Amino acid sequence: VKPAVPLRLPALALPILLGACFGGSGSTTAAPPPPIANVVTLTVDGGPAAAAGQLNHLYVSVKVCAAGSQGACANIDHVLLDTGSVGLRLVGSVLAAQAVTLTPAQDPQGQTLEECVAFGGGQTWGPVAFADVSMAGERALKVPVQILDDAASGAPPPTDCGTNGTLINDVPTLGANGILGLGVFAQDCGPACVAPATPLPFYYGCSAAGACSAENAALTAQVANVAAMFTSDNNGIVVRMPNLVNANGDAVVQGELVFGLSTQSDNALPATGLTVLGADGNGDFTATYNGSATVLPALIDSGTDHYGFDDPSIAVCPSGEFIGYYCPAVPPQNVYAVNTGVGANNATGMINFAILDPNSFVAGAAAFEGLGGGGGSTRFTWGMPFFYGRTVYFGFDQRVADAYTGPFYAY
Amino acid sequence: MREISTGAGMRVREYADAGGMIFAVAWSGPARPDLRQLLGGYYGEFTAALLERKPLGMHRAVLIAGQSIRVELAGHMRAYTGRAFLPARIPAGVPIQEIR
Repeated sequence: VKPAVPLRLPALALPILLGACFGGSGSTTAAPPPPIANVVTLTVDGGPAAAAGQLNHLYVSVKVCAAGSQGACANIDHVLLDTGSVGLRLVGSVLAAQAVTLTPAQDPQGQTLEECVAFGGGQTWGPVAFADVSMAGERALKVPVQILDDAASGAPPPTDCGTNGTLINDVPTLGANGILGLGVFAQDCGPACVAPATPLPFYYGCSAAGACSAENAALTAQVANVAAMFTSDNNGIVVRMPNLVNANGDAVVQGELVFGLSTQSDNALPATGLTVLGADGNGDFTATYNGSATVLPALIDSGTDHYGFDDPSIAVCPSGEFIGYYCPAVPPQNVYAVNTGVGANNATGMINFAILDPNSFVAGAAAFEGLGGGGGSTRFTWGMPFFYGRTVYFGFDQRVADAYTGPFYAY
Repeated sequence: MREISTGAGMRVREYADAGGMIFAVAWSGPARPDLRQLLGGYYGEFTAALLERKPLGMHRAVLIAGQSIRVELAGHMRAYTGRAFLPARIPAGVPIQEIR
């Protein structure tokens, strides 16, 4: 027996292989698998043609196929990337225009499973369906998604959903062809919709005649976080955006969405200088604003177009396009907030930011840095302006990235 | 103040003056409550003011001032919050920040 030479060779080769690829096993002969393409482009622009004129809306393209089908697929552009919600929601007429029919989901009683979900001032309504979803080289199979029933082809919304014209089911009112919610949880409603004695007004079972009543939905039946269902790079996401060229408004800004945290060379959490903010069961960390002792629940939300916080000392635009946003009398209004993580990831850090007069924004531009609003709010929201010039990391609930376990936000 | 809670984490607080007239409501929980029911006769005024915002879309935190009612919708999925009040009916000495 002369083991010296055969053993020494793999022992020498191993560090080289590990340096060249990821998850290298003990094999010394097989070529390393190519890394999975995990980057897609993000764009802030004026929105889809049917909803032109959007502001601070961050868009991405998504490929969806009927579950189990390789052929019945649609590439859908201008889907809003929303880190403040969970679930893929697609406007029904946009799918229909590409002749794609997703597989409807049923509740345990054999009724269609439908959803009413509040966003901002409105609510989405429509059935849950299954899709195979692809982005770059990542793929998730049989993902529960919501179809926004803008053609009113299915069960009508119940009386407590979207009444008096507050449905946001179509492209013009949504400002997008859909919403891709990649927040820090695996499902949209979560445990609160699983077993309460009185079901929340969230999931509904609808009869063939179109009569709907609120009901509970198991976690596995709920509309899901697509990125958490990818077969790899599924522990979180990275959102990278450049600085704006003109703080008063750029027409188009492009960044990137990277899947996974510290799973490939392009998504590593920085070893130094990173602020990691753990989140609670709602997905919130905490913030204090401008030296106030009041501790506010806070999150980093690409689906909010402004910095959202209450400051009665800043004037509110009384009318016009920006009614309800802040219109500081003497811009820039320089303010700050201190973020603190919840739980084990309890970092703290101060962020300075400035609120500008939105009426100074360049006409026709789509990306603005200094937009503020939310007077009266008892929360703090780091909306889209926070993302410009930053790399922001989102760690998914109960998933591990380096030394950190989600849910967390980091920058 | 009267508080109504459910096992699903929904909480609604109603604020009444000495005469029993409700001048404010505040809510929080994993779903948005039925505003049509909560705002009663003021729901139409609220939605009319809301629809002046274009697009309705994703503004997420919404402040609406109607003729007689003010409504603030805030929060996000899993943590919806908001309040509505009648500014002219708030009793003297009640700070607005206490309605939450």
